[in-house]
Amino acid sequence: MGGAGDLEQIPFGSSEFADNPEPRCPCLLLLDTSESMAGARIDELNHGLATFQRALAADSLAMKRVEVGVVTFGPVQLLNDFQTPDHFRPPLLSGAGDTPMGAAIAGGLEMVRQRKAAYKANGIPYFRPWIFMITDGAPTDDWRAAAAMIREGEMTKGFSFFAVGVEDADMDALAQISVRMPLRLSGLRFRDLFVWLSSSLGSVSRSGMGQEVPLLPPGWARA
Amino acid sequence: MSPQDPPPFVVDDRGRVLRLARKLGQGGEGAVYELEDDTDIAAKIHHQPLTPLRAEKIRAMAAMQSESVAKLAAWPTGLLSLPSGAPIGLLMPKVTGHKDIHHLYSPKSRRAEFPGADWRFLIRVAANLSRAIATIHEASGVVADVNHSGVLVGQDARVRLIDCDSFQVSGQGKMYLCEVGVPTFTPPELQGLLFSEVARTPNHDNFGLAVLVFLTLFMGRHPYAGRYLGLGEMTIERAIGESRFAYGADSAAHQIERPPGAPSLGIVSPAVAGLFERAFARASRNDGRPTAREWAAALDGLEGQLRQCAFSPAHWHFNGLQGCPWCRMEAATGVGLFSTTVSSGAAAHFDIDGFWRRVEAIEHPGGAPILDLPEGKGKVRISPAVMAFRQQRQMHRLYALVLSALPLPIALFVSLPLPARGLFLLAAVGLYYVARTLVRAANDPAIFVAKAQQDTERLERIRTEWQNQAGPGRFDAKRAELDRLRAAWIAARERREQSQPAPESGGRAAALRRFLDTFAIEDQEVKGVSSARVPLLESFGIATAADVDADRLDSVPKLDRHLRDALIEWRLELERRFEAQAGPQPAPPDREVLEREARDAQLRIEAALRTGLQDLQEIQKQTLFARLSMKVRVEEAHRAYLQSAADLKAVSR
Ligand SMILES: Nc1ncnc2c1ncn2[C@@H]1O[C@H](COP(=O)(O)OP(=O)(O)OP(=O)(O)O)[C@@H](O)[C@H]1O
Repeated sequence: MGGAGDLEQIPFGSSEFADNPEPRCPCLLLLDTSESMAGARIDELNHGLATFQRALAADSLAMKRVEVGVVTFGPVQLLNDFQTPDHFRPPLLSGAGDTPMGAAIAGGLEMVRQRKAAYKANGIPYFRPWIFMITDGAPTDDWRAAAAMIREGEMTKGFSFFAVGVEDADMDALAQISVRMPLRLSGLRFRDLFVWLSSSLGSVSRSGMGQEVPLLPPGWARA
Repeated sequence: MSPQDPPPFVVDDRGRVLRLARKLGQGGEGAVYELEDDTDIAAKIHHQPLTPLRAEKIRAMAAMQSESVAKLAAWPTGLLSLPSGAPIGLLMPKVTGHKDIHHLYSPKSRRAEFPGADWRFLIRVAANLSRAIATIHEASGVVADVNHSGVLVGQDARVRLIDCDSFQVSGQGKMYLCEVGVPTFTPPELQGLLFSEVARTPNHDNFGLAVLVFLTLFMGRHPYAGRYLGLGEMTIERAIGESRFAYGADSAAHQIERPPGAPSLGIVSPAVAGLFERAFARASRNDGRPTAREWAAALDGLEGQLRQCAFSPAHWHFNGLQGCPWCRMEAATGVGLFSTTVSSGAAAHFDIDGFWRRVEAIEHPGGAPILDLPEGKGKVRISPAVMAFRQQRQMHRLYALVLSALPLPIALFVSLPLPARGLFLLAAVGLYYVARTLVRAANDPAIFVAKAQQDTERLERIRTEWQNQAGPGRFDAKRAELDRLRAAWIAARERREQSQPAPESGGRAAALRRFLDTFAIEDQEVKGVSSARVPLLESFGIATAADVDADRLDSVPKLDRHLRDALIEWRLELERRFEAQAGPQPAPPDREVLEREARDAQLRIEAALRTGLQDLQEIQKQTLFARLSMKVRVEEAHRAYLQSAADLKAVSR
């Protein structure tokens, strides 16, 4: 033992995985920060994000397994690349700009693809990524390509895409983008939404890698 | 897992009403609570009422207490029901001072939750776990749902098994199956089967045990989590089912490689490596995996074959190896695998060079790419609004011309006296000016001016934003901050090295000595010392007060006790005088305090360096991302700017 095999090269960037080799459960938040979100909506969303971080922190296994990434749109910006909740600093969002949903989805899917490649390269098992989009409007850019990518990803089980509409969101447009039935947030119950998201991710991260986890009833959604 | 609230109180077998207190933990089936008035007992409350079979199982288990098992497992002691009578949970002994085993085996949580745990400790835990499972097997139980959250570890390396109600047990001629299992700990022959329908065997447990032992010894790496060289997704479940042990001798044949940076199977003794191979071999499917007893024996053996690393005292490794595997791994990944509990080690641990290589490995994003913005002068088509505006103005100008020309024919062709002609001419000129003012008023290009200004400003703004977000400024600033932190860390290290064994600087002691030296025994009338004795003392080198000390005096033959004590008393008296003159002794700077402060400073800088590294990575990604996502906006703003500039030019003609 201790022969040539020990001289194998180790790539940089593997340190976070050496430090914490637990399987990962990535969750990407695609958040609408367009003009119309300004005011109470964005305030509640900010509270919700802080709640999300706290709720994840209360679950010591999720703390090592869940990874949160945040992309906002209006304009499209990467706020957090995938990180375990202990490093996730909830951003303070403000609403301004239009709703380039298509670009945000395309960028987000690329992030997910890269993250999965990093897991694979480092021998880190992972759960099917969750992409969670929250919007109160309708896309102002071309979203057809994005919708096709979502269909493709859902079909190959590359990820699960969830769309949540806030108040007067264009639910018909969302239904065309998302394969899963989009859900409408009841009132501004962002905090309930994020508590739900945190416990759902918690149970996914406890499950088997290829297992379908039955979703908890989304109590924050309006029929 | 649902965030539902627990019932306010529950009822035990004897009808006692119990109130739940603090939540101890949360599992898939339910949550575990402390009780208001009994500190030794914990209550597990399920989310759903128990099935009659499950309730019967708990009653049966409570009836089969065994002393050997009670010592190592939180065995159920009674059934709990809701006030309505529906069974909802169980009572069990509370385990205190223990933590989930996954906190021990991941390096990151180990540093926080088990400071001071080195590889010896990990081996001992693995051996103790094997002993615990062997005990269950010998009491004819099967753990069945072996997993990372069913084992609690104490700071003394002893383990306790929890979640015992999911064990598979037999009582009164009946076998109670286990209905659950965690796929990553499930042997290949059970993958994909319905747990509620299979009877488990110790050989099944022995697979889960081998996985747990592997996780514990191999820094939290799962034995089947590797780099898959084939096509498609390779989940752990699939890898288990296909016997693709990523560290095994024939891993290449299975198209799987151990992850980069993970230790090789060679870090354990050949005996232990052999057990892993056997546990994960396809041939062991039906029988023949190493038993819990075999594991315990082999791990005890490994514990006796360890050597401490010459460089880092926190590193213990198998003595059959040439070099220290942990040094290599730490250097390569920059991760501190083991923390030392106290003092020096903690900061010495931080490998600044390795860390810095990682900083330098983050590629500089370079300048913001030059955007290919069209110059577009002249090429831009005037917008329809401007076309319409210009057409309308053309018309208005025509009308104005016609209007102001109205008096002209009169002035030119009608025969009038000269002054009247002049008047009409003047009227034409006047009309022209009035009409022009009217035309200007009706065709105010102000909106186009405003639009052009707005678009210019917007372009400016977006360009600045582009420079900020897509340019290297933020990256450079963070990088400069890291440079400063690194310099500060190195300075702190030097300070620490200087505060190391500083020999007692003789300052005050030397002053005392000089002071005492001025008091010759001869000159003084030391009480009880006759001058006749002075030469004797001097012949033994005792001339001044500074020479007086018990050892020396004792070396003088036949010195009488009184004389000796008198001399010592004299010296002490002089010392007191010195103290009174020199003032209070300044508290010597406590080396330990200094050392601790320097170390704390260093640790703070390390923390800042680590977050800084993360920030730098993030900024780099954000910068690259911004280039993608902002490009369209800059181009769009530029186009708008060109358009309104062209429009403005068109209207101001
Ligand atoms: N006897 C005990 N004393 C102290 N803490 C306990 C005890 N039993 C369980 N816990 C804590 O509660 C958590 C959940 O317990 P347990 O694993 O038994 O629940 P579960 O719902 O059966 O989970 P799962 O079946 O998903 O493993 C454990 O991780 C542990 O931290």
